[in-house]
Amino acid sequence: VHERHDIWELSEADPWDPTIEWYARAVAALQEKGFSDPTGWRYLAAIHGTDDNELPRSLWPRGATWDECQHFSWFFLPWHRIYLHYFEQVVRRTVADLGGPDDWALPYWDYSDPNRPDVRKLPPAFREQRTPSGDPNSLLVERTGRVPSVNEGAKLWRRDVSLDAAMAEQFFTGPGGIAEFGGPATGWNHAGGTIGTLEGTPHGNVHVRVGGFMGGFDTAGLDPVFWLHHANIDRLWEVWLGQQGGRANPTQNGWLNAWFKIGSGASAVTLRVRDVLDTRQPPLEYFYSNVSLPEPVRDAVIATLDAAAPLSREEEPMPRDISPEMVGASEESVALAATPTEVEVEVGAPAGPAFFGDAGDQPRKVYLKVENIVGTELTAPNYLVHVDVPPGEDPTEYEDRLAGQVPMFGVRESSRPDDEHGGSGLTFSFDITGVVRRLRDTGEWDPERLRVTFTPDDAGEEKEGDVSVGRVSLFYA
Amino acid sequence: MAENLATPGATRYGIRTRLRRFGWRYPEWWVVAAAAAGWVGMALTSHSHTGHTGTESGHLGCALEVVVMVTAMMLPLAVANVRHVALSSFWRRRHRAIVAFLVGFLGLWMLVQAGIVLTRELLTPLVGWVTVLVAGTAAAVSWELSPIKRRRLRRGHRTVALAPRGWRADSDCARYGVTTALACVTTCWALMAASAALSHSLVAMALIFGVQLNGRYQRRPSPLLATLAVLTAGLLSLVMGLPLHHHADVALRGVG
Repeated sequence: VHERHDIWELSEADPWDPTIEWYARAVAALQEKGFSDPTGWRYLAAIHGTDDNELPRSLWPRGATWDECQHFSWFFLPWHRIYLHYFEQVVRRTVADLGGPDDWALPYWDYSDPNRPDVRKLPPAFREQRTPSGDPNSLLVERTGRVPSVNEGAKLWRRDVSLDAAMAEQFFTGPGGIAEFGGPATGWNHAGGTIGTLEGTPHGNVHVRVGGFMGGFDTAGLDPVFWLHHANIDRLWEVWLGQQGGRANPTQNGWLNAWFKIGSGASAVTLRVRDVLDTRQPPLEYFYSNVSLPEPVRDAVIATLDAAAPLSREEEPMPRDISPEMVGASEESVALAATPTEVEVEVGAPAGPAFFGDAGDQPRKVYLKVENIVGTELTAPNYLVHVDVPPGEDPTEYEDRLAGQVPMFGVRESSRPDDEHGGSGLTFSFDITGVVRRLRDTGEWDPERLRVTFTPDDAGEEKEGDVSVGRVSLFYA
Repeated sequence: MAENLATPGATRYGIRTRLRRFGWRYPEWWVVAAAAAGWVGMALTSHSHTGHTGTESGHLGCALEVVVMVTAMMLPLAVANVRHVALSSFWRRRHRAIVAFLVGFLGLWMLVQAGIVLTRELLTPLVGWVTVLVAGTAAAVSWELSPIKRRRLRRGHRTVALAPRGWRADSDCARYGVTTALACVTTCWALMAASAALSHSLVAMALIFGVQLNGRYQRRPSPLLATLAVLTAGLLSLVMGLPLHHHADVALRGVG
């Protein structure tokens, strides 16, 4: 059983710890291989995504399982786990072939520990021009492949790596298009469903903040840090389960028996979801050096859970078999600009089964949904979504009214109707019960009207983009 | 009221309550029921079009065939879209939104299928039913093997933002029905042409339907498997059609 280590712990002792240095050597070797080699760098990245318009399927290597990354779905976590397993095996074999140890394991980039703010920087070995042996560093991606400031050691923003919302989720999946920890129940899905909470933040934020290759489905795997980022997302799945409190994986056969094939030829791996739920058991045989939640994050999760407790009928459990009811939605699509953009939502009276109580009853839970975000050019990599910020005020001054974040990872690909994408764009949902509770307590909650503000969360230069939100809607449960 | 709010498992529900809860959770239930009814209709009418070409009962039979075939074979492919429409609408508009979607979806499909059946009816007396059957099967096989079909499959999965209120809500749902049907027509027209050519055999149509379902819901629908299924359907239909058309010819000669 292999141990996957925290790269920052390794780096603090030695930026070129043998695990990291062998990774760099293996990456350089894999980059030398042709794109039709199932163990080559371009092939490995194309499994996640490739632009069918740039490289038509007819030109793909025979049997290639390319362009298959599972996003916006309850398969997001298991598919990426199998993908990482395949990648780790390829690198381990390559390290051994190069004369290194035969037990190499993929390290993870834990950027979320509030006790160690420097971990929000890209690990040092990924920023160096040369390896200790003087060779060009294969872990460095320059020019348009990464946001330059990240290569210069800028920290990811604290909000980008927040675990509060994801770890506060109590269910892996839920009905009716409202996101929970692991994403909605879907069939084979490359895009289209509501984005799971962990997949949104920190996963999507880190992708767009590192930027460049990491900013899109089709190129993300070309950046060597992609694999360490996803090892951390995979680790966070274990961390979430470890919190207990009823947190558990789905038990439906549609999830457990779904299978995925990664690679082709002798090295191909075909595994069902049920085969990869215990990472210590064959065929995976790995564990993470740390799956505990840092104390400040644990406190924040408890605070988030307290704030988001049901607004009414707390003694009655939530009916999990009925989808939340839409009570309001915006009328027009709205373009996201370089300045805050406001959307008004007229809210109607609920009429569904959750409200067969006394007239004027409060909902238990309130969800905000941001639907069908499409575009090809980004104005900003991430937007903050606030509710009911007073007109003319700076939304970033109202942290307690932050509903969530909308990282634009995958917006280009999911807006593009092609072999794998219907063109639906991105859809997020946020549990805003806590925000509504605070607004209600201060007498500022208007049950008939909601104002939603999208604020670009980017310190960079202003850019002209074409991203728009199809609809903003409010759901009660 | 408390019964409605309780957690499943905590209370033993009566059958009425369980049905009602099922309807809340799956507002698309009646669309699935309509498709099932369509299959019953197909089972009852799958032999009836042979030998009626050009007669008044033949026209009615063809119209019925179009309605039943589209309902049975196309509605199951749009269930996820129907669910999206229902869950994205106000509670009181859920079923109205589904109806608006179906007006667009079925409307376009019925026009297309009417054109397909009309073409069959015009060609059959000229070239014979066997030629029509072979042409329909060949068209379906060619389309299944073409890369364009695969490229368009995902478009049927698209979701769109819908206006929440008034006529714009209805028109958005209907427009979404039309765009979903357009994506569906692009991928399924040849299979539906084959269905029209093989429609005297329920088993053959069930095979074609299997190919359609596979294309809609499977991760990587195999073109070779689809081709094999279509060819089997064609062969089955040919074998089953021979005695049927023989009887129809005898009957027509008897009338003449």
